[in-house]
This record gives sequence, structure tokens and C-alpha cells, in this order.
Amino acid sequence: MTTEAAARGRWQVVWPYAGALAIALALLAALVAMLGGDAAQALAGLVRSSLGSGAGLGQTFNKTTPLLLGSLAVILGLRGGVFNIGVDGQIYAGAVAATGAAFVLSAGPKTAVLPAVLLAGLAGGAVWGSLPGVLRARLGVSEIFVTVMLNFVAVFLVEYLSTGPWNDPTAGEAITRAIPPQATLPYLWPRAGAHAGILLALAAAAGVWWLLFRTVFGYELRAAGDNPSAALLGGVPVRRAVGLALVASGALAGLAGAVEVSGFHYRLILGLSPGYGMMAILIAVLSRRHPLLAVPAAMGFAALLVGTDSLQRSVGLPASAVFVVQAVVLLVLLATEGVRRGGP
Amino acid sequence: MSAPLVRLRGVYKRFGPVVALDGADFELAAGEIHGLLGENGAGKTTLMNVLAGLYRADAGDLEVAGRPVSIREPRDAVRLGVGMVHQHFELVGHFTALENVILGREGSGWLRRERLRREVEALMERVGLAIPLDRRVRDLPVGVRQKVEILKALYRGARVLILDEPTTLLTPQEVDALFASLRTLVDAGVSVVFITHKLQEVLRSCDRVTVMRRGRRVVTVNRQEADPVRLVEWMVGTAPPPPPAREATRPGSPVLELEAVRVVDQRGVAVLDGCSLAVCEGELVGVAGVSGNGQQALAAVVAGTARPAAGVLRIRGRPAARHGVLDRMGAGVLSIPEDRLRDGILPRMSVAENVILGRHRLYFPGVRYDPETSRRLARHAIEEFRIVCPGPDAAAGQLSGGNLQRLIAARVFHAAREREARLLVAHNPTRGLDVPSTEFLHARLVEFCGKGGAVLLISEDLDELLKLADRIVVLYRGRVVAQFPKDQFDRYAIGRAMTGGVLA
Repeated sequence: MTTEAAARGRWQVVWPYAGALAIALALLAALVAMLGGDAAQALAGLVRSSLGSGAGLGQTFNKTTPLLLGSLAVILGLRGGVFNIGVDGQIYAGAVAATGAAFVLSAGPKTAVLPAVLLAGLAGGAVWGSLPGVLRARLGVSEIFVTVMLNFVAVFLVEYLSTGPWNDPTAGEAITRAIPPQATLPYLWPRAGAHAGILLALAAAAGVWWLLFRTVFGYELRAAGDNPSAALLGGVPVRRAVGLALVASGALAGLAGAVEVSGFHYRLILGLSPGYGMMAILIAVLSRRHPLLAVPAAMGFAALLVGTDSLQRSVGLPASAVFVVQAVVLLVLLATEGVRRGGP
Repeated sequence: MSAPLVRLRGVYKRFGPVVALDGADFELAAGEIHGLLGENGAGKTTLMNVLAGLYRADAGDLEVAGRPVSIREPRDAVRLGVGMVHQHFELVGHFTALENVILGREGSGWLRRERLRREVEALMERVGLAIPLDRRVRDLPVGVRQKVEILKALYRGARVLILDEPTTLLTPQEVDALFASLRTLVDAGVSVVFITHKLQEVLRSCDRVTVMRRGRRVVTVNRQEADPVRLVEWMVGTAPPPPPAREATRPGSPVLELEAVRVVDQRGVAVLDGCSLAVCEGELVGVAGVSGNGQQALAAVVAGTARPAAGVLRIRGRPAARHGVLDRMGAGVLSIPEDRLRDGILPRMSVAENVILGRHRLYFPGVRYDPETSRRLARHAIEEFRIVCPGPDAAAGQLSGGNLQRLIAARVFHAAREREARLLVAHNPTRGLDVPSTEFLHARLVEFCGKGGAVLLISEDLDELLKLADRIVVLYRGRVVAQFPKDQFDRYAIGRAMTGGVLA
């Protein structure tokens, strides 16, 4: 695309979503009214609690972090021609590795412990991604099956650790002991409760963009994902590129897990990822597999999640009704994506 | 003979600038097996697709059973009793054979299904074709799948059965069985059109033969009047070879050597079997042959995307059988793939990113990829090879076929300059191109040879080979069956070798 065409293309992306957002908000208001709430109050509360207040923005940033990292993981995979639906498992694997590292290194200074914890998260996710990566590259096993199966493995591993060896005996639930203070991520904006994870996620978005569009590895990855047989004839080591795409994808998801532990929960908990992996796929598609477009997409998504959550407080909607609202908004966005592509 | 069952007269069909049918005639008598013979691109399949309703003719008359008819879509053809079995079957793999035969008429409920089953069984009995009705089609061998296709056509009421290259995918035993079943079908009242380019099959199985060349009928004869010599003459014509584009060169040392190379495909079939040939510096060797005789495997094994199961492959004197694409490129091997969309183009990536493919590691030996370098190379390529596109950043998938081929040519010939390329493998490089593009590409090939490069030109266009090659080898059933040096070029002899005809 030329620059003007690219600019035009960007507007073509933005307009339908603005329309979809308007439709979604209208539906939301109608739904709230049906459920007996005050629609105007609900909408005001939604905006205030997600974007219109310091605390709201802080929550939105915190929610953006795992969504953005997860969608970058999916994007990296899609660009390399693999469909990583194991982001949740890789988030958990990264969280487990990060928590373990935090416990083991509890004696060290923060300048050493925190980076080590985050690196452990990257490594944990990378290991989780390397299993489907190696199987796909060596044996041609579909990554879809392997990543889905590993999701279960990771969840059960967390269940074992949080109820077993790392369990916090005082809590009485499936959570581990807290990680030491040296392993925690500092606040970016203490008054709003926003941790520094958003900076890592933004840096990761820039990093993925650089990797994809400014390195030979990224070029070969995209070539292998676009047309493996042409790439092979062009001297691209296709199987290696595809395998590494899954490893790198897992590493990004693992970092998301580490950030959730080190920045938000300060411990490993069951239910650390409320389906971030699936939402990440959606964000990756909405952002047309572009790492920089994933930033606004993830942030908008996070704002919607945070804002609709607040409806419980502002208009006293039950939690299940909030899920209904979220699902409706998602469906509208998906339908928009379908329409934008020109139907089935 | 009484009035023909099917008569096609003066059928014209154009695809863009290409004239596929140029006033073709054809008659099928009731109760015969009629061979439709011709080289690739002669118009056989197009003509039958017109009869089967897949294409609409631009002009021409169609008659079935003596009555003028208009066939606008496949449904019309089915109603008139015309059924076609295509080269690539159209079956649903995870349905059973029975479900495939009755597809579209299955209805609901067990009773109906039982009745349909009895109908199909009765049909099998009547035409002498037996298939395991309850096996899933994907588990059946190719020969049986073909029977499923034939039964499907007959079940829909076909009295005229068109088979497009039905023996291509079959083993010799399956071919024998097919011919036997065709006879039984004819006895049961079906008339058969058998599209092929293999002489032996026509002589073995057909009652009459129509030979087509360049979109027209050359002749229709009874089998008794046909012999291999005359059939080949009719197929390839007797025109003198086109004037050579270049003087014969004195070749240098061998660049590519194959000795008894065997390549096995995914189905376990040997697609190259005992193939031996050599190409020397400054030499352009043409590989003639009817498609499907090992050309793809030959291109793949030389480019490095397929590994030989047996035999010796040397590049510039060094054994290279186990080397991959990158090693081949390092040794100076370049290739123009046959299927540009499948093997040549990254459709969602830009023209610039496509132009640099294969050379990217040469330009970017380190970590960084510089899009500006790719754009610069692409602008150069667009200008020199006159690629029509919005610019270096346009998605390659939007380009037309001819422009894609120019893009690939730009990539290859630029790489040839930069890398001191020694060997170029080109597979049907000018198929579908207009005359200026073809001339342009030919000039590049000749130029490459003139600088000492070796070219292996695999082409189904015999005129192209006669014009360009120093030497022509003929590939038949995975091996080189004949060789012709430039002073012995003879269209007829080459054509006979291509069709597996007995060599005098």
C-alpha cells in the first residue's frame, strides 16, 4: 500500500468500529433498561469507571496488559501461519515459572529478582510454546490440538501448585503464598492502581512490529506464513521459522502470566486468566494481525470489560447480566468484522 | 452410421485473449467408445466442458439425438443424459461410496435410503461395476474412486459418459480394469468419450478417434484406419520446426548431472524412475513430454524441494542429492516454478517483499531487514521487466498472471546477475503469457546461456523447445526415453516419443 492508501485503509478500519461501538452502547442501554436499571446512569458509570476517572484508567491499563501481550502472541503465530489457541496455557506456564522464580530468588535485591521473575515468565511460556512448535516443525502435528491440550495441562499444574506445595495455608482457597516484595512490579501510577505492566506490553508491541517488519527472521516468518511452498523455494527454512513462531508466541503469553503474578495478584491463583487467550484471538483478528493496531484494539477491549464490570456497582446489575452485556458487545464487534470483510 | 447421438458444430470459445476452441466439430455415435486425442492445450477438455455445461460456447451448434439443444449449465447437460468424470474427482471424502453416488437425491429416512441403495445395486449389476458401497471414499484406492464417479454419472441418467484423462492416476492393472468396464458399459447402452493424449490407449480401447489440434478437429477416423505414425502426425502437425533463436553452442563442463534418479511422491508412486540427463555450461536443454510424466518431480529435485530416493545428482561435479534449497542457491541454482501462484508468490505480501525473496539473505546478511532496499530493487524490477502494478508496496496477490510471471522473472534474472548463477530450471515459464512477454522471457533465457549459464527448460510447448534448445530430451513415465541434438530436431519423432509411441 502507498502511504495515502494506508491512511485510507486505516480510516476504513476505524469507521465500522465506531459504528459498532455506538450500536453496542445502544443495545447495552436497552438491555440495562430491560433489566430494570437506569440506562443513562449505566452509560455514564461505564465511561467513568473505565476511561473517565483515574482509577478507571488504571484498571483499564491493568486489563490491557495481558490482553495486548496475548494478542501479540496470537498475531506472531498467525503471521507465521500457525494458530496458537494455547495462549491461556502459556499464560499459566509463564505465571508458574515466574512464581517459582520469585520463591527461589526471594533473598536477592529487587534489581535482580524482578527481571529474573519476568524472564522466567518469558521462558515458561516459551517452553509451553516450544512443545507444539517442535511437534509441528518436526512431525507436522497440528498446533491446534497440542496447544488446546496443553491448556488443560497448565491449568491442572496451577491447581496442583496452588492447592499443594505452594498453597497459602491461611487463605483456604486455591491460591499460593504471596511472592516476596522484590519480585513485584512497581506502580506506574500508584493513585490509580496501575502497575508498570502496560509499559512492558507497549514495548512488546513495538518489539513485535520491529521483529516482523524490520528483521530477516520476521520477513522469513511472514513469508512462511503467507505461502510456505513459495517461501521454501525462496530458501526460507520454513519449518524452523514456523516452530520458532510458536516459541516466540508462547514467550509473549508467558510474559503476560508473569506480569499478572508480579503486578496484579502478587501470587499464583487458579483463574489467573479469565479466558484472556480467547479474547486475544479476537483482538488479533480485529487488529488485522498488525501489532500496532493491537494496542488500541486491546485497550478498547479492556475498557469495555472494566466498564461493563462496573455496572454491578453503578446500577446493581447481577454479575450474570454483566456477562450478557459483554457477550452482546462482542457479538456486535464480530458481526462488524464480518461485514467489513464483505460477508462470508 | 445413423444420425450421431451427439453433434457439436463450429464451437468457438475464448478465454480472454486465448482462443481455446476455434470452430471445433465433434460427433459421437450411439454405442461407441470415442477417443478424443490431442496435445495439451489442443482444446479437448474445453470442448467436452462445453458439452457438459461447464463452459458456454461463444458460438456453435449443439445437437443431442438429432435435436438442437442449448446447454447453459451442468443441470441442462444432466437432463440431456450427459455426464462427465473429471480428471480430479469431485467426491466427498468422508462420505461413503453410496452417499457419494446418491448425493443430491438422498432424501431422508431409512426407507428411502434402502430403496436408493437397491437402485444403485441394480445399476451396478446392470453395468458390471462393483464398488464397496459402505466404505468411506477417502479410504478407497483411486481406481475405485473413479468407479464411484462413473456410477454417480450413470445414476443421474447419463447415456453419454465423458472421461477426462481417466488413466492419469491409475496403475496399469486399474487401467486394464477400466477398459474392461467401459466395454460392459457400452453393452449396457452407454456411449463413451475418452479424452486422452496417449496413443496406446486410443488404439487399445476406442472404436473411433477424433484428433484435435489448436482448437479444431483435424480428423475423425475408425480405429482400423489409425496407426501410431499417422496419429502423431495429426496431433503435432507436419509444419517445419520454427527457426532456432540461437546458434548451437559448444557446451562446457557439466553443471547438472542426474544418474538413474528416482523420486517417490506422497502416494508412494515413483514419479521419476531411472531418470538420467546432463546440462552443461552455456547449454539449453529442453525437456519435452506430456504433462504428468515426471516434469514436476524433475523440477523439484533439481531445485532442492524434493529428495531423490535413489540415484546420483551432481551440481558442478559435486554430489548434491541431499542438499536443500539454500545449498542449491549457494551453488548457483535458480528456478522458475511451474505453478506461479502456488510456488512462486507470497500473495499477501508486497511486490517489494516478493521481488527480494530468495535474495534476502544476500542483501541482509545480518539481523536487520531494510524495506527501503527491497523497494529500491522492486522499482528497478518494475521498470526493467515492465511489471504493471500500483507500486512496490502493492500486495502481490492483486497482480495479473502475466505480471506475476514478470515479477518472478525479475527475481530470478536479477539473482542470476548477483550470484553468478550457473543453472536455471524453468518449468513452463511462458504458459499463459502473451507474445511480447514470451519473447521477452525467451531473450532472457538465451542471454543467460550466452554468459555461460546452463538452462534446463521443462516445457509442454514443443515449439518453444524447438526454438530455444540445444538439445531436447523426452521425459516419459519418469525417465528420459529419447534425446535429440539440435541437428536432428524432428517434430514428428519427438512427438512420437512423448506419447510413448514405439520408436522406429
